[in-house]
Amino acid sequence: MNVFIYDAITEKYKKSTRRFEERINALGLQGKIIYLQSIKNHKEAIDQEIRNGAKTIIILGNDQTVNLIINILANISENIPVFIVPIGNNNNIAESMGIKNEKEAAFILSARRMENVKIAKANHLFFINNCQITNKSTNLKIDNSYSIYSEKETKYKIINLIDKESFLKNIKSSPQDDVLELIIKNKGNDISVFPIKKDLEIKNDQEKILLDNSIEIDSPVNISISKKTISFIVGKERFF
Amino acid sequence: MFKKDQKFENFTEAETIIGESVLVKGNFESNGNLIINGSLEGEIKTKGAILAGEKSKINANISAQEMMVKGNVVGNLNISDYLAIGENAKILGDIKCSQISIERGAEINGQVSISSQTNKKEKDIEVERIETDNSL
Repeated sequence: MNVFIYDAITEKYKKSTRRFEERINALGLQGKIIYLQSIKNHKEAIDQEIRNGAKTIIILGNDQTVNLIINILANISENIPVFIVPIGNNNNIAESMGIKNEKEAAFILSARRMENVKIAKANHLFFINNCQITNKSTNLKIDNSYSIYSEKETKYKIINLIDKESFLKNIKSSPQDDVLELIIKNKGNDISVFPIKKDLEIKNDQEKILLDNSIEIDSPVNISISKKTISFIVGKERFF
Repeated sequence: MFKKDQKFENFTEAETIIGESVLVKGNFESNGNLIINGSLEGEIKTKGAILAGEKSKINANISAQEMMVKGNVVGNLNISDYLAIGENAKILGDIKCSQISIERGAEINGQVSISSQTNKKEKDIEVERIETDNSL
């Protein structure tokens, strides 16, 4: 059984949502719909659907919705395939998975091309795409071996699943290995790349760290690859 | 230019890149290639190759398979295969390698030991200062 999880954003983008539903109906892929805004305990609701025999979890929303569901699935032992239908703006995760819009999403879902993706962890929270911080007084320590300093205003991005911006800069990163990539960007073409094989500690008293363009958390943060792997249904044009 | 130097000219497949505005402190270990355009203090060990660019400032003992130095290095270099030293390079430390090329203008202060892996002959050059003269 397919379980469709609708974010509240689908109310704002009714036309897009309707277009996807029409294609799903035509392909005979209907299933149960859960509206996130009408549920108090999201984890309990998803847990219940998995116990009831959910075969695929289909998320209709943006990066914030995906991050919310990933943080629930990361604490569930079953590995139920997940599919993302991008609705509205801020859909970097779906784009990285090769799902550009809701129009082609139904066909990608019906093809069921699956890839395992490792989930990264920042303290007690999980992220799939990246986390980032912009500030010059950020202290970073990689694999408990070496520290990195930059005097200039610097953008730090820790990548698990590569996004379009990094993909176009030919930066290599795979969400299927046990390595995260730290990208440090200063003005011009001054880019640094460091592999994170164990963990990264970030300390910054002034700025918060942004996970998946969705959630901000306070420093200090310890970032690593978690033991959790989730199967995603992906498109041919994925970035990994 | 040696044929082997051409490898460094197209050296883009690096696992780690240290940009100009970045300082790294500590023990850096890797299995892959490394490009250094910024500063590094500590120790470097890699099974791959290192390209230290013209703006690099390295204060570290270095172990690698191959290396090209175009910037400043203070520390000992232990290169298992090939070491190329560019015209603007300044090295203060001892060097051990199997093959070496030094461009005119490079400065080396230290003991250079070249031990060929193929014929097992070892050449030791003890110097207080090697400074190639590019005015000739």
